[in-house]
Amino acid sequence: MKRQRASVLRMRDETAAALIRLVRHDAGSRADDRLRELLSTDAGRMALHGLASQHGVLAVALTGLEAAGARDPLLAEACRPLLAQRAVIRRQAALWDLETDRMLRLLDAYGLQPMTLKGAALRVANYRDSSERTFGDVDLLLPEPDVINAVTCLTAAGYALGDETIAARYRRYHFHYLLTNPMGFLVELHWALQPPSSVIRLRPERILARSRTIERPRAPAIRIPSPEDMVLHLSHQETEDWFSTIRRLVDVDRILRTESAFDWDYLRAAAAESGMRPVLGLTLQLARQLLSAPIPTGFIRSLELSRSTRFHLALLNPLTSVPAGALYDRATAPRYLAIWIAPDPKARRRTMREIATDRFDHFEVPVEIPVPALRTWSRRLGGLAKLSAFWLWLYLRRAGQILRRASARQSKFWEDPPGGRGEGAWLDPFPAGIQPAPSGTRPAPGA
Amino acid sequence: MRDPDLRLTPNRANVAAKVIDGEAIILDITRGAYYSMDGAGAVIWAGLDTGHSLGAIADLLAERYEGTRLEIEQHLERLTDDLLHEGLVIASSRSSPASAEPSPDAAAPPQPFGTPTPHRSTHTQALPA
Repeated sequence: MKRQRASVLRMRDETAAALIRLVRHDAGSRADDRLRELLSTDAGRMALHGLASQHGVLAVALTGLEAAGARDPLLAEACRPLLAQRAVIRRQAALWDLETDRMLRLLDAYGLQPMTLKGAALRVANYRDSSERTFGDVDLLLPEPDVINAVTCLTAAGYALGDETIAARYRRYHFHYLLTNPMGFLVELHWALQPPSSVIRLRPERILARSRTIERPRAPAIRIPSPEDMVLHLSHQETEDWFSTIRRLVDVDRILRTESAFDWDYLRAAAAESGMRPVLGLTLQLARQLLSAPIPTGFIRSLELSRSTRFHLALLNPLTSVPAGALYDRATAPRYLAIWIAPDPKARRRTMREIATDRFDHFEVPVEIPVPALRTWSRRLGGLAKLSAFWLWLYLRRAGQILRRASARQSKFWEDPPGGRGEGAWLDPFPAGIQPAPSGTRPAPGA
Repeated sequence: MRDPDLRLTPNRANVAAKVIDGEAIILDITRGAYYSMDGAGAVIWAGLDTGHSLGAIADLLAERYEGTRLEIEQHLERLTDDLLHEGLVIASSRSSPASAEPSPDAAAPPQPFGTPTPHRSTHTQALPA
């Protein structure tokens, strides 16, 4: 049993290491024996496909694989079935591009010029090929008074807001409406960027004011956030996703590589003002350590995260747990993360209170159904007990790592890598214990 | 066949389209209806989009596909009837010659000619998130 678990974990780490190589900007030159070994088997290819899909980066990983395969015909041959999926992805990307442009045209006819957020904006501005960045819905941000007009416009064009009670709850507790159409397209109309109860205060009016418009031939102009606001918003998304994927890290990396006039001073000031220094720091450090994202030396230090915050975030071993998708194995991890990405001690205490009173998940629209008091209290106590046990386990794990002298890599998490802006420097998160076994001796996953 | 010098062009005021991997995906913006054409249909769409006359498109199809000139012209006429009926193309007053090849695979050997038909899509199908 122990050997079986070790084998599964080793496979997961190898797959995560391969995925990180393939989503890097320089994936074409990252093919090595470990990657070839993993992708030479059906199990390895399936594992990569599964992990890349889980992280929402299948398209960008396949692009990286294609680039690596261009230099390595054997790798390309082994991965032919995987690469064939790019045609399906390209088709879906074309459909989403057409529908996004349709929405922008229809809204423009109503005198509305919403700002496009996340995937639909990133694929226009920061990815070489729009099919590299897939997404499952279009996010549009409008000034609050324009939202009802936008709903009217889109419902006239075949979209539906759904059940009125749910829409009313979204209006009261949330910050966007979700509309769907019969073709399966989804659009979120945002009037804010976080729920009213969030400790983070990302101001939509400032982001709208700093937006830029990209003119495109044969397509409507598209209004998108400034690159700094995009990075801020993507980091903010981690308070919704809790670092369960590397998708946002890849986005941040691509933004920093494609935007030559990036205003780091603005980013620092805006992060401080919106209470996002810890979550921005963790996002940028992960993007730098895993993907060599070009971040100026000293910038993350200039965010002035407290020693305690840095220590407690590093306890999660984010360099390995985030790519492997292991952070989300434990349902308590988001609560722990929420405490340590809270902007200051006051917000941290407030987050703890919310966890203790079961009001933690700001992104969940509350269901207004009375729950028996006893069940409420038992759930609260159970949640607190799990959080305490998880916290204690993190301390014990780190103590064990120190005793085994195995914590050097994780303790370096917050250090600036050598080599200036991170270009060329790369802290391989999976260097030990996952070297390929001699051919034919490796146990198959689950064996 | 219709006047071979006739040019039909996408109704750009209400139509957006992309040709991806040999498939033309066409969107009626007002109705939100998606149409898909592959094979010869995609070549015809690309020909219309680049301003080729019906005669020039028929010539191109005759080069690339097996089948008699008459069969090809009949299929072309039927397809353009469908596209006109759906409001996806309009007659163009433009008389200048087309500036671009309708499709990049001009050197490919002749292929069997399948009936080009615009299929209406009803769902995006397995959208990757």
